Amino acid sequence: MKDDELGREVQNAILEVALSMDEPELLDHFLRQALGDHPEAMEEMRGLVEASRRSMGFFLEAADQRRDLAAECCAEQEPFSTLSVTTDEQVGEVLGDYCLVARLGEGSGGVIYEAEQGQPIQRRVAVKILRAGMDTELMIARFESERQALALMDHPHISRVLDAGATPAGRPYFVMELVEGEKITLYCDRHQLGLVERLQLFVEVCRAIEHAHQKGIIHRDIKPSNILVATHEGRPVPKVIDFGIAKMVHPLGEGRKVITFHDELFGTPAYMSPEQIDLAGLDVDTRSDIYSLGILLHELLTGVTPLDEDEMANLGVSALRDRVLNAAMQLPSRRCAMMPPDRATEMARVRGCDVRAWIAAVAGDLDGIVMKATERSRHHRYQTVDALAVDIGRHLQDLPVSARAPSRAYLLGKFVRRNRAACAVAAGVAGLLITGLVTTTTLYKRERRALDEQSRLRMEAQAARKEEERLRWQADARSNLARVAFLLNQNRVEEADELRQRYPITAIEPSLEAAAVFRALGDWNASHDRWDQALECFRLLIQANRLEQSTRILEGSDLMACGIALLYRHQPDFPEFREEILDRYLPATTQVGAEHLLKVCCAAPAGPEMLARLETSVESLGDPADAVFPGWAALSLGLYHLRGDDLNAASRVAWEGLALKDAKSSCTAALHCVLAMTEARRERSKIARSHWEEARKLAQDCGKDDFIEGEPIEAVWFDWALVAYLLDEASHTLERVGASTK
Amino acid sequence: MAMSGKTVSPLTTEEILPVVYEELRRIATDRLRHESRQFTLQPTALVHEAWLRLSGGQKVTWENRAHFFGAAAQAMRRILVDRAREKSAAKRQVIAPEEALDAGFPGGNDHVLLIHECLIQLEQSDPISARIVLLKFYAGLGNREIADLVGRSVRSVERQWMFARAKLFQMIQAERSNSSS
Repeated sequence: MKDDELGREVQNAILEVALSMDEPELLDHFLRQALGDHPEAMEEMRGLVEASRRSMGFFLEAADQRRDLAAECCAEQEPFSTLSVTTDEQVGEVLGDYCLVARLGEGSGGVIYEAEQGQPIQRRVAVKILRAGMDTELMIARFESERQALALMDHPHISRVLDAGATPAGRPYFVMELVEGEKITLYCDRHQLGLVERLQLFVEVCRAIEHAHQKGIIHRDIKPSNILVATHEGRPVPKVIDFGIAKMVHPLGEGRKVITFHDELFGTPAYMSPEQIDLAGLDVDTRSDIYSLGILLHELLTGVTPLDEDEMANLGVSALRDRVLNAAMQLPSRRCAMMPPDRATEMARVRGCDVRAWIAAVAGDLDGIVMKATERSRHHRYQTVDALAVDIGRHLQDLPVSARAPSRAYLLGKFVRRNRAACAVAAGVAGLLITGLVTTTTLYKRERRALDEQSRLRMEAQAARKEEERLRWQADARSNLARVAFLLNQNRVEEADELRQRYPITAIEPSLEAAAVFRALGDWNASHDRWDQALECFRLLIQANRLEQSTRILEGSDLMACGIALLYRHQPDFPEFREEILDRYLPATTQVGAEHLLKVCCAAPAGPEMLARLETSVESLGDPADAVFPGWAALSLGLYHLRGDDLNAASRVAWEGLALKDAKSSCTAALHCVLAMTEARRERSKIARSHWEEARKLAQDCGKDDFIEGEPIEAVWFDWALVAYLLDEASHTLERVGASTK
Repeated sequence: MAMSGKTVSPLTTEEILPVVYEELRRIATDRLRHESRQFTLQPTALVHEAWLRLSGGQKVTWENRAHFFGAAAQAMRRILVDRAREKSAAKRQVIAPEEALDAGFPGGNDHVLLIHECLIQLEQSDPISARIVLLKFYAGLGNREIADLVGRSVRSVERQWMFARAKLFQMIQAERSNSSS
């Protein structure tokens, strides 16, 4: 390629990658990295991204207008055309091997007939004849390539696409397994299924979709009318229809005109994921189906879709797009509560309960599950259908669900309290994960240094080309990672090991799902003093957590685990980590968040600039005595004052902390360390030394256990790691003022 | 036309245009006579069919096809723009232009004209992007077909279209704010 061609390809590739970034900060970061040396090019690219995002509605409308104009032009050539008779296929007509028997109805994009197939086998099938308006030949060709993939699907709840062809008039048709049943929402209401039954049915639908995803097939058009339910042996059995048709009829790119087909404007947009409507993203992956499933769940629970369908039907394309992309989503239970009373009574009645019970049942877990499945950014959704189904299963069993932030104790309890054998495999997984990643990272870095800017960008262009393939693979790898974790958790070590070997997870990208595994493995390794492995897990966790919402991070304990691991092992990237979390998570508005941030940032000496940035957190923290964990709050504040050299304040806060009754031994030891350092700096080395001794003795006596008022309590490794770090620092301070700790 | 360097066809663009135009009209008329009135016109199908008839079903080299499709796209553009101008003129008698502009994008009906005008600018500043817009928007070709025509990969064409669209939209926005101020 010539230089200017290369330049053009690279520039287009940068735009492509930039457009795929949903997160503004990620986009920012990417543009800085790609074009940071060329501020003008960077600004221009920013403008193009902006223009591209705003242009979608315009071009969709333009395509519509073009089509109308073309139709008008042609119509004028033949004044009699409007009088010509429609040539709709009729019952009795024969299409290839199929004889149309009865008209079943009209669906999205076409008319559905029941038909009889004569050969090679005699059976009843459904034939969907699409309205004209697409390139039949191309579509049949597309079908051929897609058919192999579709043939892989074999699931009792999936209706298969059997054949495709074109009518004599040139209309494409699809032949599908004939499914009897009514659309899921209608079935549920008519049979007055309660919420639990609806959830069970929904999980079955999830399993069918999951099966397809595992075969690499995305449905792309999940909505009630594509899920038919019939009663078999007294229980409802769902069947998903039209699998893969959306892709064939509306392939990537030009096929995005799906929402401009007038008949489809009613109904479908409510179920389309933001990335399908936005058109800015390049690819629609399995997570788009997860969004649609979330909307379906919403409707099954509440009787309505999050965005009002009637209202949406009346919106223009641009307005519709704006609505889907920008409207704030309400909690499902809130939607129920806001319904007019007679409507609410009816909705509750068809769910077999009264209004109050209905709203109470939807509120909480189910709210959380629907919201997580329908997150606007697909990174924040469930990453696999399995995860969604598992959460619903957990809800049905009254177990905590992942959609509501899990506490560390829960994850630890589930994971680490397993026997050594299981953990050994876990460590193996981590090791594998780590060596792979370290190698790739080092190689990547070395290569990057060696390559000049342009070839680096060419790599990115290449990477972008492989995007779709990679996304599929990732979805697979992600679910396998979760599966390995699950098997370990169940103590099914051999299966886990086998799975691990079959799917090398060395190249898995950090994701929210992976975060839970990184976290668990990191904790296990840390509490077994396998620090190299632990540190790598935590570094991966830090990466994965960049996708998580900041309140969850602040209120969870990953900040401490990652920060203290780095600090305790004297890692050079601790300062970088500290800067990053300040950039990312300030201001910490909740008290717990402030405590965490202060504790991690002030665990090591900090300059005035950093302390100034933390001032708002001190305000949010308030009086430690009012905190949920007053001891830790006192420690955080004490450390903050210690780092700011406000020795009086530091020692006052630390003493207040020590005066508390129910502090953990580790917390008490840490507070003694703060006092040892403040006293040493005041040159009261004797008192300083006694605090240091006190802390050391506590640490020695407890070992890895922890106590409150002498009663054993579950120990957390990083509490003691923090104490060890502070003890070390205090002993240096003491030495400096001449009070040896030896 | 940038890609017509090795044209085998004896026809020049100027010669081929009226043929295409006539052919398109004939096909459309035929279709409308014999088929459902629900039939909506797809430029892709039209151009394909026009090509098949013009070439007499003979196998052709891609240079030739590229030339043909470029010309056909220009023909489509001309037909559509003429038509849009007529409509726009008819409408201006009813609605004052300022009001039409106030209506903003969802209400505006002159997208085809706007694209045409800005495409003239784009043809000057970035002929490669402009060609993609021409083939994609006016000829209604798919990425695969364009890729075959211009000898680039499908992904490369997709990206060029993405870029061209963003660039064109910037011009359209500028055009809009010029005419409204």
